[in-house]
Amino acid sequence: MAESMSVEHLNLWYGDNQALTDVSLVAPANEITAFIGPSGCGKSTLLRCLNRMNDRIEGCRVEGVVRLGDEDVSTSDVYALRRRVGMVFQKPNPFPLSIYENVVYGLRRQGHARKVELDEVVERTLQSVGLWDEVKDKLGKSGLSLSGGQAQRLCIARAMAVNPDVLLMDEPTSALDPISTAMVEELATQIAKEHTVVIVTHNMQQATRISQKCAFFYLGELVEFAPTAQLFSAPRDKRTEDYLTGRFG
Amino acid sequence: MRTRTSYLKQLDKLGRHVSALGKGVVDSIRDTGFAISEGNEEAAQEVIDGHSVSEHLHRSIEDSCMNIMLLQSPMASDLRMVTATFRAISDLARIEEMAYETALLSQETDLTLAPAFAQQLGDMSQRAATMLERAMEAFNSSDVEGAESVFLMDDAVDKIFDAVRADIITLLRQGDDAATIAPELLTIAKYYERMGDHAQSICDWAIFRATGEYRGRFMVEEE
Repeated sequence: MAESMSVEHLNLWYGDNQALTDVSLVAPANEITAFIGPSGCGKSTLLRCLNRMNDRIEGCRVEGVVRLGDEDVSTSDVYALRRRVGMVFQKPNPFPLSIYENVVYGLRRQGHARKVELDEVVERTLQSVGLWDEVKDKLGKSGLSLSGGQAQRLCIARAMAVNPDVLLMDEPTSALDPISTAMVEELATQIAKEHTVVIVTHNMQQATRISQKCAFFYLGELVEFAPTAQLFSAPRDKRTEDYLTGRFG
Repeated sequence: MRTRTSYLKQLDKLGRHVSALGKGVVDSIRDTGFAISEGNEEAAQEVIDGHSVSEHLHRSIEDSCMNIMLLQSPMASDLRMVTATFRAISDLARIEEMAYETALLSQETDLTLAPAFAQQLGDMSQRAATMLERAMEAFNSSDVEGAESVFLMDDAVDKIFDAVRADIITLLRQGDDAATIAPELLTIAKYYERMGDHAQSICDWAIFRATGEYRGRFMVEEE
């Protein structure tokens, strides 16, 4: 059973600059929640709060609560948290290891060393991301040798291999061609059947295609959070309307 | 921002074309009324001559909607405007088609045989035209209250239609000369009643355009 992810009255500062202001929302389990908004609006910052990726940024201060299920993530061990809340980035970032080792990287860090077990996870996970047939004969080759779309699916496989509750995706298809984009979108939809998915995207059609709920951010504020169909067809806030119709500025 | 400006101009042009088509159809309904109640053949001929222009404008608006949907992926109020327009012009086209056929019937039928009916039908035409006029005003300005006010007007048109139908049945029973044009009279009355229904449908799209909520009732095609 997947866990929902929620934030309550979240404020975040980079030094004196407030990047998020009083954000509260729930990303429901077994759904895809999309964050949209103009560059610098705070959507990626919020995403990184969900698995405490901002912890290491100097001068970053966070107030408010982030919960995974009922658990306050600020009290969790950060590495344990990131095993439960995986992340895929804008630019595919396979480790400079073999394809096989990329997939089992998280499992090895958790102490799983039995080859039979790891082999099973590699095959299952690569099949689930549609990569198995393409790489099964070259699992020893470097993950860096893959194309952009393949590399992104490998990164998703790496994140999913540890069976997280939540998968965070930060513009995961912005560097991909339409075919690879379609594969990643399909994959996100499949993953959401058993996990919680939160995606940041600048591609509004992508948000409409795959998400069930959508949040629009502007200047660090959560302007509107609604079912995707409603937000894109009949937004309630004028700022959302102006952004969607390209009438900002 | 040239691309964006061009897009906004496309939307503006679409709005103006819908408004022009609506105005043309309202005029056509009124003209059919003059043709029937006053025997004004020139008015009927104007409706007939304008039919192909209306058809052309209808197709052109359809193409514009398709192009905007395909090339601009409109969102929010723009999406509602384009989708509502795409649906509303089908109602407009249907009304225009009925006005055209009414104009043809007015030329083919000796309405002097039944002057009282001609007056009733003239009254129906003006009411249907007013309903459409207000529906289009509501559509063009996303005016929910204006759209809702049109629904109230339909009852009167329906009542006149029921009365005309009852009178036509009486006419048929009497079997005098006027009975020979009873089918044409009934057809014209039915057209005006249906025009009122289509005007209401446009109001449903006006409300959708304004709010995103489609309250439309299923309209049974009887004609």
